[in-house]
Amino acid sequence: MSNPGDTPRSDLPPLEPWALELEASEPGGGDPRAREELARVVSVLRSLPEPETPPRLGESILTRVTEDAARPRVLRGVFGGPARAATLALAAGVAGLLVMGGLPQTFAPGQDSNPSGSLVIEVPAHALPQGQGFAAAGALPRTGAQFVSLGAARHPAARLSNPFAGASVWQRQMDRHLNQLQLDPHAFAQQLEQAAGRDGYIAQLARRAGERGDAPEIAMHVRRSTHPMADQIVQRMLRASLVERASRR
Amino acid sequence: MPFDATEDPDATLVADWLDGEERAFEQLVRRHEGRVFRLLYRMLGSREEAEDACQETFLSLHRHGRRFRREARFSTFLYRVAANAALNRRRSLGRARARRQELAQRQATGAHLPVAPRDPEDAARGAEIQARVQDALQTLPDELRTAVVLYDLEGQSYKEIAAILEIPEGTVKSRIHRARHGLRDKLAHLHSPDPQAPTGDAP
Repeated sequence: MSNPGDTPRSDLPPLEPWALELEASEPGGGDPRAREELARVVSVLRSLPEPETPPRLGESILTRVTEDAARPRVLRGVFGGPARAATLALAAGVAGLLVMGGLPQTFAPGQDSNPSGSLVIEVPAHALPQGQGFAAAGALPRTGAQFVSLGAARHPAARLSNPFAGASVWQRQMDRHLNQLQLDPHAFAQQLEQAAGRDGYIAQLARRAGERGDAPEIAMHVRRSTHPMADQIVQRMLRASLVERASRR
Repeated sequence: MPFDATEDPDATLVADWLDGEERAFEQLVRRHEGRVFRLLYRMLGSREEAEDACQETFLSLHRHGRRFRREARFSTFLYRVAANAALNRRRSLGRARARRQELAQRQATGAHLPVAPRDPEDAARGAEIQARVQDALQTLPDELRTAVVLYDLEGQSYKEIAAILEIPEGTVKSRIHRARHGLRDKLAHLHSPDPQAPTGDAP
């Protein structure tokens, strides 16, 4: 690496004491030129420019995390990571059997559905109470519905686009659900009641609605429903609205 | 000395996230995505692979975050997850061996080698040289590459690296030293006075 006749250069970073010790124990390690060569390596390494981070890396990460959180956690817990093709195939097969066996409601992708093809309440893993994850497989279809789908709304407003273009993936998901809540509060509440961690999720939805400023309007829609959970949702929405108004003062 | 969790700049966000606040997780992603990506790029040598591995890292973090015991900084835990993601990726795809063979062949034949600049600072600034150094990094064994990337490129302390890799600090230093030796041999031709001179070792 060194050139004949080179003299040791003073502009190279000095090697650490431990590196000098280790180098001295190498065959021929006492040679100053050998030390300089190592110092050059260090210099080259440290002067490498940082690679540019892909522009939408954060978005792609959050999208993948959100999608993953919406998958049945039982399957993930039993079969491991999503990258394994065999796992995916097996999981898809099992999921198909579960659906045939009677999930509360299955997907109804159709002409009226949203762009993702289905209307899904995706309760995130961390919205669920600790200790409920990775439950027995049998708990999934009936009692632990972490992946609850609504039938496709027939209302034209199902095509509501997200007016909050700068929102995060997580916020956009909540916006979709708030839209669904307004369109059919009863059906939404019916599905939500089967989801573990629903109270936390309702609180997050209400907070989001408060930020958007339409919590009172959503509360008005939900009040039409006779569902037992409707009152809880209304209260949450109204409280979120008050909190948001107070925080703006 | 036991780790003091209050020293962790991410402590509040992590606590919020573990309490169910998904926005805190989002902020953790935004805060660390760049560093994790850089580490993975250095480890894997490909932007596409690094981006995929970066997604897998945060996915794994989101799934298993509750295993974080706050015995070390959150960033240490995250780096450990990232390093494991990179190593698993390399192992599962079996790319390391293929890439080493390809690079060794290129070095042996001298094909496509650039004219070597004499000054290392100039060399480091050149895109070609950067690619060569990145390639040389990829030829190192995984455990050596991880150590030298974390220390010389990412600026982590021995203590942090020891915590990330779960090895003693002495082993960290030894691995860094061996990695530097390996790189010196691989990059020998960069500083040859004669571009036509032999191109260093050819394993």
